Amino acid sequence: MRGRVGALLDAFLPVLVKEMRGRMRGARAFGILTVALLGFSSFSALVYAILVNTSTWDPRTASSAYIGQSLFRSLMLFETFTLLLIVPGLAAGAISQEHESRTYEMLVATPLPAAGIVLGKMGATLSYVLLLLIATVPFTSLFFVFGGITISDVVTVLALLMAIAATFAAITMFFSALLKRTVRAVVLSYVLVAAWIGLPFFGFIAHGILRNDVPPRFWLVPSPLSAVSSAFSVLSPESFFTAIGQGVAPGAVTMRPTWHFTLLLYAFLALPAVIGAAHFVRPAGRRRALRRELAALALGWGLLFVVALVTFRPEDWRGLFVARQPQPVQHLEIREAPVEVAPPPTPVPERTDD
Amino acid sequence: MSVAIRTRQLTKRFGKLVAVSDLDLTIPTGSIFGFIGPNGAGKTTTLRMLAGLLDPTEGEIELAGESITRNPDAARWLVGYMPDFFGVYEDMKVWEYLDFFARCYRLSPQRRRRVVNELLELVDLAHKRDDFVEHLSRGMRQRLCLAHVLVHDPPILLLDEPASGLDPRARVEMRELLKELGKLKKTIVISSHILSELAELCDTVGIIEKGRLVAAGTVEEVAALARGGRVVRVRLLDASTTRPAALQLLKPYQGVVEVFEDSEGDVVEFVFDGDDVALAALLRHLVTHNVPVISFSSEHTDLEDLFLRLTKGEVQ
Ligand SMILES: Nc1ncnc2c1ncn2[C@@H]1O[C@H](COP(=O)(O)OP(=O)(O)OP(=O)(O)O)[C@@H](O)[C@H]1O
Ligand SMILES: [Mg+2]
Repeated sequence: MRGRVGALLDAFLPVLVKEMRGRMRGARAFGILTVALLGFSSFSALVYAILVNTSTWDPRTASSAYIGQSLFRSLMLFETFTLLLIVPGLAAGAISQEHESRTYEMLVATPLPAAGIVLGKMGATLSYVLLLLIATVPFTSLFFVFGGITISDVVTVLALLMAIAATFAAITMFFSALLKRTVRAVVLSYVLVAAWIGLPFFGFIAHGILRNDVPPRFWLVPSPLSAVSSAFSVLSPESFFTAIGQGVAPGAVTMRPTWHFTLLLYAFLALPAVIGAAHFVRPAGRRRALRRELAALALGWGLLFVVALVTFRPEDWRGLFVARQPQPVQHLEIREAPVEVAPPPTPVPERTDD
Repeated sequence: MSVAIRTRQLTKRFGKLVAVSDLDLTIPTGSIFGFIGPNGAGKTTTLRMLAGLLDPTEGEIELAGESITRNPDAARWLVGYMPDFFGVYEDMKVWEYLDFFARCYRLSPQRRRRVVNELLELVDLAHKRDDFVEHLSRGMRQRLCLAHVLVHDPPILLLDEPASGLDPRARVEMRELLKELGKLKKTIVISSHILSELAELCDTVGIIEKGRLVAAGTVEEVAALARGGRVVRVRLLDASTTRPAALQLLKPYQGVVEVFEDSEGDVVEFVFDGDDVALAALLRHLVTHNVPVISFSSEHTDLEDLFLRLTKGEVQ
């Protein structure tokens, strides 16, 4: 077992270095970075301009914290979108390009284990994503001027964005290894991303319309956008659109933030994606490792299951499925309550988790 | 003499198509083996199985005494494999390309640096060290690829048509390079359908057609086999009168496969299937029956000719 893990690490580094020197190097990578940063800054400027314009009639803008949070939230959601666009673009060629440029055979003729190749390539994609995220930190720190966000908000969201990027990178790489053609892998990944963003909201809204009630938030667990906006505190959680963004049904007792469930779900999905990618990286005649792969998958899922059992309580799960409850939202930490919209503090037994 | 590569009843089927059929190869350590066959004969399939990239449908492969069928990962360390069609990582520098493969084989940083420089020197690319691979010519890429199979100093090299697509000059250079490698006591398998190159280079050759090994051995042995024996040239004194008698003696003689009636001048040519003792007996037979023999020689055939006969001209 140790030997296998060691071999994975031995493979990780060479492939990572190779990808950094090859695919990730050069004008294109920095072009993407520049465009993304330009996009982020102009987007933030736009949001700020809108906030300033609405200040004449929206009383909430009187709160500096509200401005800080709005800027932060909109930028983070925009960044999530950007990541969902960039990550498939970066990861779709990971394996298929080896086939297309006819370097595949020589790569798999080396002693690198297939899983190591996959993880190394994923590492390269994620380091690029990390670079991108770190480059946005300066903007984010500008928002601190307005208040309303904390360092821990920023760190949590960035970590969550990395996890989202990792999941989508893993799935895209699975397509790349399976389809062996970059274009097909890109197309399939974007179709998936679109469905992934659209379906949870569609389900959420449809459920609400059909039941004529506030829908339960389990619909929103898969959505990366909901996960991100549930990862930091906001001042006005009661609007329906906030609920959509945030994955919090207004009025529901939601103890556990949505993104905890999202992370768990993504971990469950990313694992078979990585193992499946490794399976298809192995040369066609040499895929007898299937049983070992299934065992690894079972082991990984088992571990995740145990983690889920230990860290999530039954009421956490119930919180996913309840629609409307009479109690007001409790888990939201109100840092600077504007006068009109502050929810009345009710003496519901406080639960602090995580 | 130890054996580097041994296969037993090696067979690969793709659905109904039998790409390689009951291949028995024995290649001694340190020899250069030419693997010859027309397009689609199964050369690449065989080499990929030897490199551990493709599972045989049936049969056994042993590399340096290690069963690859049971332990496919062993092939990774024993073999350097150069595919017939390959690409190179265009967006890397030449030294980085080799450095990557050296890392794959877990060479220490110092060793890596040394090996990369030595190999660049060996394949004459030292002056291109810091260039991007995309700027290399075809021949340079081929040499770079050859260098990459050497990073882990494998005892066995499997080179699938290493000279394809090269101009004559680059071919000669590639051949010199391979000779150089042969001197390093490596076991080398080279596949090709360009025979003139292999005849000079190889210690032994194997001829494969439609997945079957039709002949194997030294170039001379295979040549004899190819003709169903060897071609013997006999010069006769006063041929115009003695020739019919000679033909009459030869035709029914055991081991004579074919007599060329249309041989010119004072020469009679025939194909003889038998060893030197039998050949000496044949000469005695002619002489004792008063055929005036001036000279008597068995000639070597060239491999190209042989190949065309073996494959019934199926090569384009
Ligand atoms: N992956 C595969 N799937 C199906 N058939 C295959 C596959 N690989 C090879 N073949 C078939 O096996 C036969 C042998 O092919 P192979 O590539 O080994 O020939 P070759 O001797 O290398 O020919 P060439 O000189 O053209 O390179 C061919 O008929 C080919 O179509
Ligand atoms: Mg071939």
